[in-house]
Amino acid sequence: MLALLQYSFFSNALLIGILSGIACGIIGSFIVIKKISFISGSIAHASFGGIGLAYFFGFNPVLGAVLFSILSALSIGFINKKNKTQEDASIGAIWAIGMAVGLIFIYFTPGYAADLMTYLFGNILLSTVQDLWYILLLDLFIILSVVYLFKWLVAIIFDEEFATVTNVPVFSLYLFFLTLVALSVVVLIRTVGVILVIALLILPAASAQLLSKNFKHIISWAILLAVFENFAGIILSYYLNIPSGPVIILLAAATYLMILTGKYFRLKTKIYL
Amino acid sequence: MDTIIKADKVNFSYNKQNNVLTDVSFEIDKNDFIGLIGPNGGGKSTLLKIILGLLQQDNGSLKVFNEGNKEARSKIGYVPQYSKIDLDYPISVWEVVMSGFLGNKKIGSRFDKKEKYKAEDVLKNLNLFELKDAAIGELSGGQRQRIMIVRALVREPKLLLLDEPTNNIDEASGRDLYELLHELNKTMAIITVSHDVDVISRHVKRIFCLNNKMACHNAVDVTNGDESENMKKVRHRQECIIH
Repeated sequence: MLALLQYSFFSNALLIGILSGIACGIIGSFIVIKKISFISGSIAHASFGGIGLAYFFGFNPVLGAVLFSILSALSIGFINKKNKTQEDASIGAIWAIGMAVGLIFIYFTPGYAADLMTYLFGNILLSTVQDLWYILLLDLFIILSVVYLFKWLVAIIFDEEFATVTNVPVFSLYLFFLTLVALSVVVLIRTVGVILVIALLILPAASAQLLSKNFKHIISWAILLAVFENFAGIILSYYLNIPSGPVIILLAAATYLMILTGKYFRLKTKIYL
Repeated sequence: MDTIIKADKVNFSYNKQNNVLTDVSFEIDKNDFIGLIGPNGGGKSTLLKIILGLLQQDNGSLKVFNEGNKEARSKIGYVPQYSKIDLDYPISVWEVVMSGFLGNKKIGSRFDKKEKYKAEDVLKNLNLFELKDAAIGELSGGQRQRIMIVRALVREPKLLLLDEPTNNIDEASGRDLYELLHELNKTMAIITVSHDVDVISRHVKRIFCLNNKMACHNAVDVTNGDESENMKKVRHRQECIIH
């Protein structure tokens, strides 16, 4: 095990496991508590359009993903504000449009898109040092923003109407929050891929929500669980020689189920923690 | 009399066909205690939203504190309907109360001592200080409603708006709540929305009946258990339905 750490790909993978665990623990908690997992799924899938674009024009796919995920996040935010009745349909549409754009760009890109599968399903063991730097920057931005805005975000999610009538700039804050969701999606693409991102955003935070009634504790638990699941997933996928993304997701799902059943039985036997 | 709200022939419709509010005119002064009643769909919530600046009337004028939307809002304390609160939300009583200050603060700044004292003070006055660390979902309906009032009060409003404040709480807590409002009325105007004429007419100074159009009445003075008064109330209710 220790010998494995001497391989740079392996220590890179573990570092990315920590960094993406932090991002998804923080943002995932807000997503689960605000109940916008469908919006996050849409943003994640739409980001694939940017990955295709990057392939076609030959720049870093992370940048393409940032561009598309932020664009789709802002579109969803504006549609929510301007035409609430169209929100659900447009979230679904943006979900598919992004994927379609990505596939067309990749179709027109000459040669074989070798690691396309890793963007769709993730393979943390293939991450590079450059990925690591991008993710570190995005992570820092997410952490600082949430620390700075924590009280405001908690308040607008708790009671949007009250916040509005007390002159809190709810709409700008919500758009910024969706941008943070978009950025955390990009962080997680390396780990679990476009298609599985939504599960890693939701499962650790949903598990954490079963463990605490305090927002900050929920975030801490979610980070802890996500980092643990990433670590265990990386090690298992290395030894079993299977892609890391699905392994991490299944571990996260198993953890969630275990906590859920544990909670159910504790309630049944009336022994409270 | 210092008028704080002056509405003149306010009209509003959501779809340009069916008017929700038709030629609604009224004045509210700084010591008023208004019970706003009427059937569902009669326009109570719509009127509240126009006063709060969440909706804009189609025509007619409505002046709140004779000021622009932002300045007027800073003088209004708003207590939303019970159903709008998510009981599973991981937030403590203290955090809820402090969120009342956020609109006046620069984004990202910390709460200062004055704000903390203010919140402590209001919580203590209402005997709720020992609940400050409880999660919002752990409170009884009556306690939760009082916390929502505290959140509005820390802003030192000149007008308190309450949307169905006694929904989902038991009768005794409802009575306590109106006693509290009665006390608060000494320093601010209050508008409370309700669909229960009987309860509300015992506590408020004037009753506004709103069913698309508005009619104003002075509330009857009720002495407890007086049968003739009950009759009055029944008549009163019939009157409201006719409007």
